[in-house]
Amino acid sequence: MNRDRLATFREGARAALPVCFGFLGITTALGIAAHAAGLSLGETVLMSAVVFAAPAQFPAIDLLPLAGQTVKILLSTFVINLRFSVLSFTLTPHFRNVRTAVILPAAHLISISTFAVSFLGFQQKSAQDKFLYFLGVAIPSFTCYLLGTAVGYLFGIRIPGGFEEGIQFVFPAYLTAILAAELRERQAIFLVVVTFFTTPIVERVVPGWGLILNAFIVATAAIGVEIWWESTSSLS
Amino acid sequence: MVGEHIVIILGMGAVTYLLRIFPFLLAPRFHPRIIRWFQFLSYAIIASFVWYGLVKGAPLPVNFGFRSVALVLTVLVAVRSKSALGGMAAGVGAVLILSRLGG
Repeated sequence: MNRDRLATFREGARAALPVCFGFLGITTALGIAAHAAGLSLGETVLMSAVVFAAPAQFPAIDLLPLAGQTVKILLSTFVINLRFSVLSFTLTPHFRNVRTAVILPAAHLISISTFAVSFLGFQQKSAQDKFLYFLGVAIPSFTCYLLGTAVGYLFGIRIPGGFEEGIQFVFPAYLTAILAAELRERQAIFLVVVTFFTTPIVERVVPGWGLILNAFIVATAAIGVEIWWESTSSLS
Repeated sequence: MVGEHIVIILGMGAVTYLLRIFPFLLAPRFHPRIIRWFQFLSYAIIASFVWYGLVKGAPLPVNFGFRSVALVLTVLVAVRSKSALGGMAAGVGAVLILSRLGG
């Protein structure tokens, strides 16, 4: 890896720091829950390694010790993790210069957190650097995810009450701060504000699906408005 | 039983991995308008995720209040300083202080 490429990877790794904090908070709880449910350390870490999606892992941890739950576990994993396809679709234009054989192993590291931080960092990156930057974000994040799971399982460490609130807020604060500091395009700022305020409404109507569904609705409305605006401008 | 657990866990991994890779396998060539839509979708997902982070694990309305104030402070500091890390530090610091004060 030459110096420029290493610098891009390191830049991604620095950007991953808040993701790591967030993951450590979530996965220590995951490790504690798995221990309490009677799973072995190997099973718990294996699940974090091959699934890498806490929202699907928590229900599976509860269901695994019960008999005859295989179909239910796999189905809920499929439904809960459908969002990854949306994220992967969104990343495809950014990785179009990278060979599919190289992307496929790295695709395992796509999560909402690694996606969000990478995507916001992509805005200042050339096409060649984007994939390396993604790896810089994703590899340390994945490592923290595994580490947190093992530490939670082995030591049952809970974050002290006073700091838990701060730890939970690290990642949303980081995303907000990047959006506020970096976002310059007026349409994108408007879209972010509208999405933020409409998400709770859609989430209330369609619990569990509101985040993704509302994002689809707002993005589609925004592209519709842009097409209409362009056609109106070209007519006048 | 343990062997069965491992098979189920590997099955979960396979299902999740397929969901992650199939868009890359299709290797679509998108129209610029679709790419633009994906860009909007990305920002919208991130904004949704910020909202989710604001309410996730907030046991009481008072926690939501702390986080809302901290989020506004995060935006103000990030815009003024043009520093994402500075904004994040201000927001997290505010949440810690407010949650201590608020009990």
